[in-house]
Amino acid sequence: MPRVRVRNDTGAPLTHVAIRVPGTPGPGLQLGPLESGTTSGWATVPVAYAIVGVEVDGDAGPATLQPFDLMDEPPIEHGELTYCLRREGARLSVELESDATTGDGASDDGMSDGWTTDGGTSGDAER
Amino acid sequence: MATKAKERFTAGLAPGARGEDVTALQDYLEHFGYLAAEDPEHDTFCGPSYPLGDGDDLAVLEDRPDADAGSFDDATAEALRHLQAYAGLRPTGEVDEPTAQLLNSKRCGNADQSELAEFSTSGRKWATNNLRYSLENTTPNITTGAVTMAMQQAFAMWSAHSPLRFTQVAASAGAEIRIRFATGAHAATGTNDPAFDGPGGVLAHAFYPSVPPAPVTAIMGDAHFDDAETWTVTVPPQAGHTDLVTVAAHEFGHSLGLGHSSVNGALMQAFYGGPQRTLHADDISGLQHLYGGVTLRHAAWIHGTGVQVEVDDNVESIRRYGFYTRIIGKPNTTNWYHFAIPTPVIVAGSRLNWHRALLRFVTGSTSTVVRDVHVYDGSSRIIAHQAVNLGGSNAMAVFGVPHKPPVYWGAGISIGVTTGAGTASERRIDLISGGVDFT
Repeated sequence: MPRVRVRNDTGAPLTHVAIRVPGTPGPGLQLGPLESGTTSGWATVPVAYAIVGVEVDGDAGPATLQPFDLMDEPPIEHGELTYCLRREGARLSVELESDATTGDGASDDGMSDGWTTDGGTSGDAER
Repeated sequence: MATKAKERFTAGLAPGARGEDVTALQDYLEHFGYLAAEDPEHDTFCGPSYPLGDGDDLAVLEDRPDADAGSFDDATAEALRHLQAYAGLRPTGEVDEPTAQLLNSKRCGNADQSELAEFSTSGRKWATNNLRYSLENTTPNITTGAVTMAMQQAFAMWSAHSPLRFTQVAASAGAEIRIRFATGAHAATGTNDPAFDGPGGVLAHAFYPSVPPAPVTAIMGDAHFDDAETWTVTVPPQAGHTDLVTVAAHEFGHSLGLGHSSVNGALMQAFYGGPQRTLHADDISGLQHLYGGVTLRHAAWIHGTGVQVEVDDNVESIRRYGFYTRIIGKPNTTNWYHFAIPTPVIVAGSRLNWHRALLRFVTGSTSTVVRDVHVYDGSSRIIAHQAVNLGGSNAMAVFGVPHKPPVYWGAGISIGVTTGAGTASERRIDLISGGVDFT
């Protein structure tokens, strides 16, 4: 199963960060708060896509990104993906930064019942 | 002794800056096609343009931002982001170090035209321009009439810029595009129709047409909407509500063969960002790549001096300047202005069909907007473009008629204008002309 995380490149701290893999029922996965420039811990998800639903809050106010659909988006079933959050003016954007498709399952934390996290915080600061 | 030439651009230039450095940046962006040229040479829409600014017409037609010279304004930042994205840099909209290096480097002198078209297509399209759609069911959140109008408006956005005609038929008629609201798993037997994921996930999905001459299967073109979402046609939507017109227009783009676009502001971007009831130039480019463009064929216009005001009490002042009318609305009011268009009903023995309504206008600020555009044949309204909310300079705003019916009695355009609370200058609208084109 793939592992995903979020990097805050909006230039401001985010008090709330949640992502939701489109096509997957249930609530979003909490990955915040995140200081500016920092990266969340990893979370294991059953499947991922190059696009992701995002909900954030911070000094600039709440913002969401909701995918219209999954047209032409193949499921990613292995690997490690970092979603990079940016703000362009008032508009939030998200970009898949990396896709280290290891595919060996070594990073799976063994919890397969939906989304799981490894308890990561905003302290990774990986760039 | 040789000395290193002074770098033309230095890092640190950012929105809000003014002066020669900004002008030099704008010149660069203009030269390489990211900003509208200040005084372009062009041979269409080239007449006296006041109150549209010189070059506004062409800037709109080409969808290049038009900046204030010497001021690092939003248009300059947008153009710079386009350049940065084209060059593979982070689109910061500021002259940072990597961008300064790019700007100072030698490069090809041709404009980066490819940047202006990032649409993607599926390689699939319909073999006919006459498409039928049916509403299989509706959603409990809004009335059937409102759903029908929302679908008409969404199709009209695409018909305005193409030879496509969209006609609603009964659910039993075997339409090319069948519209359905559903929740969870909803696939018919033998179809690859993914389940919906409940509230807050994906909003909808649609199915591409076939690759001609491959046969069309029943599900091709269909558009499904997740009924776990709370749909609305009210703008702005309440929190947690989703604009049906916007999502429908996006999905119909897929139904026509368009994929997702990477251009900011394109309707065919992958993410819903709130109501967007007009197409971006990139959406139009993609559509016309598949189905061909359209040119004005039988356009009839009336100057802005011919406009009729519905509610005199909501007008602070009205003055007719030659061929256009300037109206200053009272603060926080709505009014309706009506154009009666001289209509060539029958040309060379053939009755014309509707294609689209055309408007040229300028508002004094973005708080004064053309909210709604209704198109009439005689006393019958044939399409309502609701909550388009267009402000600023509009050299030619286009509003389609999805089913392109025959014209019988004569064209009328009614526009609903909301006026904000600003100064008189900000509350003005200059109505330059209204027109209709026929096929």
